[in-house]
Amino acid sequence: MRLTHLILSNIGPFRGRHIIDMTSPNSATGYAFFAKNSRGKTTIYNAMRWCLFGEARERGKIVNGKRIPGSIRPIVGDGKILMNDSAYENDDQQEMSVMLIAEGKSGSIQVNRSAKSTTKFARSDEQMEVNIDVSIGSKPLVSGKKAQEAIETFFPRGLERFFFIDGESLEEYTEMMESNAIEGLQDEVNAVLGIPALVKGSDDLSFLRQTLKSKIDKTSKALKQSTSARDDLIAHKRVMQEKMATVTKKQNELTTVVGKLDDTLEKMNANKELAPLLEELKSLETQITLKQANLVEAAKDKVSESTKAWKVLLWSRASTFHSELTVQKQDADNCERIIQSTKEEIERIQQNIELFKGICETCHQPLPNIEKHKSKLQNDLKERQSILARLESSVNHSPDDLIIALGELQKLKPQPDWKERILKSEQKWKRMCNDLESLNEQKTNINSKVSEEAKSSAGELGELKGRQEVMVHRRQQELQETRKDVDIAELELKRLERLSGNTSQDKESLLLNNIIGKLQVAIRDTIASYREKARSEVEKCASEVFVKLNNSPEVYTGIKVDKNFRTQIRNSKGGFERSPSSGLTSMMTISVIDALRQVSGIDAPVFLDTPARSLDEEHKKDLLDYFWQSEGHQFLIFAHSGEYNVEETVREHKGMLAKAWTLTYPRDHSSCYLESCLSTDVFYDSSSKKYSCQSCQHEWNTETKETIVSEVKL
Amino acid sequence: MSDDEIKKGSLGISETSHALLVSLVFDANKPTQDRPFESIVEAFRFAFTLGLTSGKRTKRSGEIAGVAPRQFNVLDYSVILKEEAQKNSESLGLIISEYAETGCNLIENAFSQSKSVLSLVE
Repeated sequence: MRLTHLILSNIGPFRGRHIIDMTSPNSATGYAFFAKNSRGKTTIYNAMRWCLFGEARERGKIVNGKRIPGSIRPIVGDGKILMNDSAYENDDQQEMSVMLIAEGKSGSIQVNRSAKSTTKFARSDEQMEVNIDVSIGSKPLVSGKKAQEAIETFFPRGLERFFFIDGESLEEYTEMMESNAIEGLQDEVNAVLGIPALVKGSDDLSFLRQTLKSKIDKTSKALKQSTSARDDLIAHKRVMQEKMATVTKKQNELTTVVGKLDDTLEKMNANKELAPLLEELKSLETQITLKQANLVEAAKDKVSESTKAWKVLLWSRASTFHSELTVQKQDADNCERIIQSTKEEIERIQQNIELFKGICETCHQPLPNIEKHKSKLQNDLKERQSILARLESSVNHSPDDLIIALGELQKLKPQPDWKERILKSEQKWKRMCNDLESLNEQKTNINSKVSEEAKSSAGELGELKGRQEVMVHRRQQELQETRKDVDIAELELKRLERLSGNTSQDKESLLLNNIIGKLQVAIRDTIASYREKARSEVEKCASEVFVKLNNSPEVYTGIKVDKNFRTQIRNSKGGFERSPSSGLTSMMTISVIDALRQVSGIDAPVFLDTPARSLDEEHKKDLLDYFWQSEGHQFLIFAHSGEYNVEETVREHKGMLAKAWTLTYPRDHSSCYLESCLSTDVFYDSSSKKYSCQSCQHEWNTETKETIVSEVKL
Repeated sequence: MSDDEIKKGSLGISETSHALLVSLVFDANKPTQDRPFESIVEAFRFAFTLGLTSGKRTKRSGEIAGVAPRQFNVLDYSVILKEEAQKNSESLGLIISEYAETGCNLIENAFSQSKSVLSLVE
């Protein structure tokens, strides 16, 4: 790729639009921008990075041997910004753009990146709308992300640092090499080889494989479950079929018994007129059966009560005896008392007779007629004895006999309610007999109306109906149970169907997993072999460059790059330089960087900002001699006036330089700087601090910090 | 004359009366028939008291069917029948049997008048 034009607009000190034409009539590859500090060298360098990659970074640092990239310089905002200060502060619409035009293998390349404020005054990059358009050869113009991807095809971002090299980064590389730090350089080598992309690709593949493996595992698990479920499903389907067959069987059985029941009902319907009579007959029979049972109980009650009946009868006779005996007992008792008192009187009279002394017991005076008195006592005694004899002869039964007889009679005495109870039980039995008779009469009456055949038929049909109804009920229940079983089985079947699903092993995933595995191995192998090959190539290229760059090629014969990408300067004795000078180390660094650039195979210009700040005069010259001789590659230096003198450089490298420019501020000019004029007849107004050309009337303000790009005549 | 001097005698009724008494024994299979007694002895006791109540004795005729003496102690009724037995020098068994014969006739009469056995208690 060869740059032909660079168009800057409102970036850094470049106010307005500046077109830098890099086309050259000769095949020289050297380009130089000479300027003092702050005139815009680094701005051009950064403008191209911003145009290509969308950002311009501050210079990075090396920490512990590793490069730490600098922070991104904002387009607008406070502090150092990319946009031209005047444009940012004064323009109604803040806008900045950089356009690169180049010739590449695929034809003309045009990259245009612009940033435009979306507000009246953008305070941060969020308020800036950045657009990029890229066209390559005859391909259609692409924008945005696709445009960025298009840039990657001819200028990979990862290799930017081998093409955009500034003095400070050179020094950093040198320091890195001097300190024998390996990581930084290894990163660089990896970047050149595209190893980060490969590693990232390998990581991506690992992630992809892991995701895939997870998917495969999941699918395998699901497949296993599915297979198990499918087996279960097959078994369950068989069970289901059996259950369905059972349902059908039960249904058929139910249909059969329902049919039979219907037949029976139909037959019963034919004898419909007899039905009430039969029903009544049935009812009567039930009542009779019940009544008969009750009658037996009543008869038993009657038997129980009748055991007392003889006493009731007997007492009607015995009660007279009882009364007579009671009277006799009372008489006997009275007679006994009289006998006793008579006996006592007799005893007393006998004692009186025996003890009589002729003295009055009352007055105790002698009685006048003792004999008369004695005779009276004797008469009394006789009378009493006669009464006693009569009384004793009148007693037929002793009171004790009477008591025993009364006791015997008492045993025959019934309870007062026995008669009533006996008669009640009798009445009850009779009533029941009558009831039963009445029922039997009714039955007989109905029986006379219904033939035995009809009765028998109805009875049989009724029984049959009863049995069939029971059977229908049983079959219905069985069917219901079987259907429930089927419902449950269906649910299980659905569950198993769902589980068994359409899961199948993802063959594509397996294949992909296999391929990725192989790719990973291939990448690892490639990285290992590629790194070794690259190391060898870098060593070879770096040695070639170093021999050209150093001023004692007979002493310093090359550069050794070991497996860890540590570098050493070989000497002619076959050993390594133990303490090379800083200049020699810088040369080694440049050699290695250029070797890396070459090995990368990218055909792009090299931008070297303040390239010689740590080089002595001889090495400075050697540097330009080497790079400006490179075949086909543009080599742009952005040199400080202290590094390279314009006239001297142009003179010494005349054939190598394609074009050169100076970057100045107006105040750098005390004569007219317009190429068409260049008059020295100028007037300076110290009050306005302006120069005015007396020839062409061009004016310039020495206070203005706007870069003037002037092409150097070669 | 003491109880010891009264003859117990034996119980017996005519075959006709015996047949009647048999027909008065309860049969669970014939609840509608008037069979109010648990056993022949009970029926005999009822017939005896029925006859005694009527105060009439009936001489037995034809073959005599015995009544189990162990279940019918004639002495239980001596207090009532003693005088009669002493008066005619008859055994208690005879007196009771003849009263029972009368009772059977009364029952027969009641049946012929469609009366029940126990209605005779009234």
